Amino acid sequence: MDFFRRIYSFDYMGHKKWWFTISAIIIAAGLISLFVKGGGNPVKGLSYGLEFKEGTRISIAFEKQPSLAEVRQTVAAAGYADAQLQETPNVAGSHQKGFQIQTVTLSASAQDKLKQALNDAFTIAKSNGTEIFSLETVGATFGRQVVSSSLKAVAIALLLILLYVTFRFQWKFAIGAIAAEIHDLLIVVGIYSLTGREVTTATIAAVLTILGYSLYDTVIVFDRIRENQPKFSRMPYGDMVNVSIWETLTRSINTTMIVLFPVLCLLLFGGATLKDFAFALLVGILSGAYSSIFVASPILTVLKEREPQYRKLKLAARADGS
Amino acid sequence: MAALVAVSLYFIIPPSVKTHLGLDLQGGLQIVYLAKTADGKPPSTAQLDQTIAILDRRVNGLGVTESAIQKQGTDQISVSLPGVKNAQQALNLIGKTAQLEFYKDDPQSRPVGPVATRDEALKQLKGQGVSQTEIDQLAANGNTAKYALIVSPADTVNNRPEQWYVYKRPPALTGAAISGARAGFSGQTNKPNVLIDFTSAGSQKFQEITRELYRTGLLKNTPQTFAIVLDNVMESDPMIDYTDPGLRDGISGGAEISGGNMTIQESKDLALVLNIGALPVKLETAYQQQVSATLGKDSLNQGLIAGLVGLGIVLIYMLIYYRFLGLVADLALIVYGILLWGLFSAIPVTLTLPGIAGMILTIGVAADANVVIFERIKEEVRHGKTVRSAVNSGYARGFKTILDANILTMLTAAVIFVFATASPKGFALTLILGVLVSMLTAVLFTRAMLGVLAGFAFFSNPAFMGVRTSQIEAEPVAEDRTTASRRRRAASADSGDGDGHGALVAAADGAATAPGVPSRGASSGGRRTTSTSRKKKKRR
Repeated sequence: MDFFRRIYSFDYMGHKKWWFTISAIIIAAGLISLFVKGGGNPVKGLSYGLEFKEGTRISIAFEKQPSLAEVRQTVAAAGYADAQLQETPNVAGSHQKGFQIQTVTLSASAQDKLKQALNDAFTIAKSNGTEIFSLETVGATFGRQVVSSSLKAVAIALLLILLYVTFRFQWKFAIGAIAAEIHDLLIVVGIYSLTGREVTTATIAAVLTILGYSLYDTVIVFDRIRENQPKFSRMPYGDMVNVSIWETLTRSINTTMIVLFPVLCLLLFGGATLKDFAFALLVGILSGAYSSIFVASPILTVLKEREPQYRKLKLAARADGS
Repeated sequence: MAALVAVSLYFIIPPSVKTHLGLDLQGGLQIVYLAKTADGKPPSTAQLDQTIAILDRRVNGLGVTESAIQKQGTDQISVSLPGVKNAQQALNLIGKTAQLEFYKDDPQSRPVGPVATRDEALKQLKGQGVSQTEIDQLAANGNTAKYALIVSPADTVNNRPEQWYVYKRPPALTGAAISGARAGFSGQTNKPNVLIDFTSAGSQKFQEITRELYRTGLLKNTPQTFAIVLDNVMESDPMIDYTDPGLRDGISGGAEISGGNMTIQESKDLALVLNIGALPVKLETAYQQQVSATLGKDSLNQGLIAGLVGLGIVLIYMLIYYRFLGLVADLALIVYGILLWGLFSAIPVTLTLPGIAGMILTIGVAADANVVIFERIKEEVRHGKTVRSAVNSGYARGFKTILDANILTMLTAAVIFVFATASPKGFALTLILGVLVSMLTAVLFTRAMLGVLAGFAFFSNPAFMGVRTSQIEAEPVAEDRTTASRRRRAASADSGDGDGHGALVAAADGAATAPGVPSRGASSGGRRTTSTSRKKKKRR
């Protein structure tokens, strides 16, 4: 209760340095993890899903579950001695035990041969008349292309955000917004590296969405600051920002909660792909809510307090208070 | 508005028939091809478009409904075949370049072969003074402008091992010379084959070639052959019998592809592919995904459950927090859901797993719009405005904020849609549509509802929207007694509840309006400004 009362009267802008330090520590931890795990190359500091690795992945279930060694033997006999095999409890959503086999990239006829060999040896299980067999092939350039097109999208999106916020507010607001965006992205990437969670194309889609949505709270606060600026023209800028934050706090909390509910449901009830989305969205939304108050607004304040009129007000307030 | 909802319902019902499910939700085959020209260069736009047109016709031959073939970037083509039964057949049929070529089998046309291995063929070609770059290119692509590396697969019937050749390009005749192909059976072996018919020009050319081979054979006293090659694989090498005077003028009819162990299905597919024509490029598989129908169904159910539960929680939260306004928001959210679904069915947007995630996220975004508007209205009420005028000004100001926030979301979604690859695209599209529909709902539905309700007397009670009497700065100008007493009752009932929400609202208001709450700054003795701000605000 006391906590709830206090967050509506807390001097957020007076503790800028704390927020910057906290964000810097979290981001630094993520970056260090990226560099250490990637052996100096941060792009390699993430564990990418099979969608990014060259090769063919087969998911298969048999009528009678053979041992891993038996399957390995059959796969090796078909000419893929260096294939990676793994037992899975639930093949392709069939709730049946089975195997995942990762080989080099197979041509259509090679796929057919391997499937036939496995069927001859163990008989592929069927569900509703269709074989429990799924297959995925990824070429050498696919993963690279997904990553590079996403990076391009991020760069262009950031530029557009910069232009739009400058056009609707002012460039100082745009700097705050962009800083918050980059903060959110770095935190999501850092957490993926720290937790070693697999990065899939779904993750990338979610991260790109965070880019758009995480500004929601920032826009709410900035909108209020823009409105309060002329009203409280004789108040130090940081204090005016504090008031704006207090006034919009309920809004920010509620909008964040309301988006988190469905995302949490995705995380709880969704299948593997949906869970991937949900986790990245969860981190991004939380980070976005945080950064609206603790990154975007303080940076705006720092920039604004350099303007002569606000510097004067700030100095006057300080002299008055001491 | 009602009309819109009715139209949406028309498109939705019955859902099982009218919702288009993506490949990841109903199972099927998805392939992303990387296109290259015969000698390994990136294709031109015209070549890529032509390839797509040809692929489209081939896929039609498969009889898959809702198949989609799309250009991706400058050199990729994505093919999705939802619900395809025989993935293997589909792969063979679609990916084939179907480059049909006829080569003469003389030393000039065939610098290397037959040899036992590919490496040996390349080595021998190098021995003839061909540059290393040319060899490397040939090894990588199977073709260069000057040479073609060709394999004759092992023939178990005639007990012949695999053999490799290098032929000189261009070939004597290409697929352009054929007018059609049909599946049939070989007269001698009664095995499936494909018969090729030539165009009149092609027929003339073919006759010339065979006549020449006949004469050379006669001259050298050894029978001459020519090679029929499909995608760098030698399908057959018919011999021209120089002792048969009937061939003196060459062969004018057609040719036959009878490759070893062709099945009837394969011969039909090959005939189809040859009829449609060769691809102007070579296709390499960049990504291939085969989803089983059971996995798709599972994912769909999980997504729907998550979506419905999420929607339910949001509805309850809005109702608890915003009371009567929450009811308006809930109705708006349901209308939003119907409109969005209707739009998806009407366009139609194919629903994919990422799309479901996008849709579920937009539930939150749509509810957010109401939160922003309602908070603004509550604020105006606290500042002493009558409910009716608070609704008007609160809506107008709140909507302005939402507009900025939503435009930013849509901007990024649009960037993703343009630049990102397949899976994020579906996500981006649903997000854009969702945000648009949510704004439409906010304008048409929430606004209208609030406008209508503001006309009723009972609505002018601030408690209906969770604002307590104690939080109102100045008394509204006019108020009849019954409402005032009802409001007092509501207020006293509220003060007793003491739950988290109540505290949050009270606290929120305390910060914004109530004097005398010590600010963090003031209590630490550092600043007096925060309390000044309140006095200022009070005066307004």
